[in-house]
Amino acid sequence: MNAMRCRYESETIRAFHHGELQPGACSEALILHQKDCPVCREAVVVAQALRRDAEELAARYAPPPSAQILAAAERHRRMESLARATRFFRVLKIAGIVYAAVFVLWGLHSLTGHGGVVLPGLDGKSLNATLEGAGLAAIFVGSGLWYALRRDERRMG
Amino acid sequence: MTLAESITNYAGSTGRETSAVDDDAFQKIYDGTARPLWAYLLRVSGRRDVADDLLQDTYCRFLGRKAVDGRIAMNEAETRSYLFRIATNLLRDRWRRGDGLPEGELQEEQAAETADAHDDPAAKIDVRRAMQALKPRARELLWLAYVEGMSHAEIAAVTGLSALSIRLLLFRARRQAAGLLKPDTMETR
Repeated sequence: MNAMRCRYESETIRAFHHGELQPGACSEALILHQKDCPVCREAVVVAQALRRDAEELAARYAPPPSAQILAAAERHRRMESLARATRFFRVLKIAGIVYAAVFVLWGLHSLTGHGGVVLPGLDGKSLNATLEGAGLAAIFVGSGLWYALRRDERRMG
Repeated sequence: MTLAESITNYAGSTGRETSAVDDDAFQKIYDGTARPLWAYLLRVSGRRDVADDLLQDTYCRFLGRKAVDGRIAMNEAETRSYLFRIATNLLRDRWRRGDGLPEGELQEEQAAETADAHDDPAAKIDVRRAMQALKPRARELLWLAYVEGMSHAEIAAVTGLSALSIRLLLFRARRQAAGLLKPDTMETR
């Protein structure tokens, strides 16, 4: 017989698990088989040792109150919801920082490259409109960034 | 109220109603499963602190689920199996992150267990040592099969292994454990 292929092993362990591996509780054939089969006997010895250990561990363990688990689960869920909800704002924050950096670099490059003239190809009216637009964008992005970064700083502190 | 606080409050007010388990039902499930689940986590991880942490994390994940296979309700066996599956996955996540077992802690816990043991301390340490000498997967399989009485199909669902490979892996684990537990009484070797 192939030692790993005793077809009664599962049945034997199931009977042991339910406390039925004794005369009268399961079939006589299974008890006789268990006595003669080294695989099943070994399985029962291992199962007995592990079960005894498990029972002792379970008996001396005092689990935390379920209210504590429920509260932890609630905190966990809120944190996950918050992380999901604020993902969009994190993307906006990164985009704002990138925009601010590009804007500053562009401004510096233009000022140094054209002798102090920001956009040499534009006439006076267009230049005013462009500067107003860029200024407004800078104010919006700057205030948004200031708010977002201030919140982060407070949270870290 | 800041935006972040508003979002937190919104998340808190809408999520509770969609939870798959109410408090009373959870209490029942918790009372019936916390101890065996902790014993499993302790013996497989070999660390009390890990078992404590993961027990809580397991139930947090369990409570956070919306539905399993499109269904909210699960029977007792399914719930038990699902909890062991979560616990097994969390244990593996820990090992993947390289969260090992310091030697000092192992000895400390062993000493505590010896002090706690009333009837047969030697046999108890044997089980503990035997489990520690086995590979984590072998510990999982032995515990699920011989303590929890799960079938190969159920173990496959919990561990994510195929039912066919479980037969072979369990056989090897059992032979190894038998040799480690009581070498003098094993006639099969």
